Amino acid sequence: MSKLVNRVREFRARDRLSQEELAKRIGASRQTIALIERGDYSPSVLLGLKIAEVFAVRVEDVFSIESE
Amino acid sequence: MMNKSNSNSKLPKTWKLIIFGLIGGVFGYALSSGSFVVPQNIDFSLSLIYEYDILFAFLMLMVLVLLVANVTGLVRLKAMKEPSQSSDLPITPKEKLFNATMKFSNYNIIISFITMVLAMAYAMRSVSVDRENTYMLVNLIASLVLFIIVAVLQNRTLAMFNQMYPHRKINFNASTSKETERELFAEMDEGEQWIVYRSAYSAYRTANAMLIGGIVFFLIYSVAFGFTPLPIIVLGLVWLGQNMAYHREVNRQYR
Repeated sequence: MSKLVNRVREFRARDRLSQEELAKRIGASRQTIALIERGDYSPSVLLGLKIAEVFAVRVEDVFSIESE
Repeated sequence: MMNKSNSNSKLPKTWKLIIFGLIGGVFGYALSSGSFVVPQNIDFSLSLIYEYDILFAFLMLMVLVLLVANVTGLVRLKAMKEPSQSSDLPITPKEKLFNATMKFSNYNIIISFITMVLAMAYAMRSVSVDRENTYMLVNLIASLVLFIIVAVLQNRTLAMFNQMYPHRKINFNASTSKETERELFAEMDEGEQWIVYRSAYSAYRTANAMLIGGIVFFLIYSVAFGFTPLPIIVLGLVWLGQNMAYHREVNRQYR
């Protein structure tokens, strides 16, 4: 069993972005960002790419698969 | 690893089936053997002075309690400040309070509607006693007034939603409520839609279980008080309808 882990919170802190600001930039809601950060929701490829674009990194730098 | 978990989960399932079978057997025997005798003077009319007065009083009390909770929620929401932009909480205290207020409003619409329908059914019944006419009229007017107040409050609660989420506005001018729901769903982002899917699936499973529970209840009622097919048929049709809607959507997606 593997699960998707992410570093959204870490990159957000690096870029001093609030959840609200990140959400606005990718056209999502703050609640969705909170769900992603908590690992409760795995975003679509499209949303994942948009998040990576905001942080100017590759999508693999933000999202990765972790074996349980 | 896989086989181990399979054999582990198989044993409790078998035991569960045996226990359910035993309980069913005991209840079945008790009901069919005639050892379960219903008292002759048993009365379900929930009455104190007038027929069904306790039932109506209880329902209206519930409506009043939820009404107070709804009004209190709206007043507190108006006084609450917007959360700061840097707030990283999954749900802000204001959103939490709004969710609770919306919940009270929804439950109240259902309960006040049921109260109104019951009052109407009671008023329109074929057998009526003269001395109960005033009681029936008061019941009817009170339930109607309560329903109107609750509906107005729901409108205010939805207006509050529009204030809090200007980018997810509920369109009050849409021609049908179905159109409003469709518009609202289309405006949601994928995370919000995912929450709706999960909640809807949970509601579907709960409704299935409750419908089966209702059918079993009326089966026992039939055994105790005489054959009562109508509620069983209605619940069965609702169950069928719900599953047909589910499969129609599945088929539409795989087409």
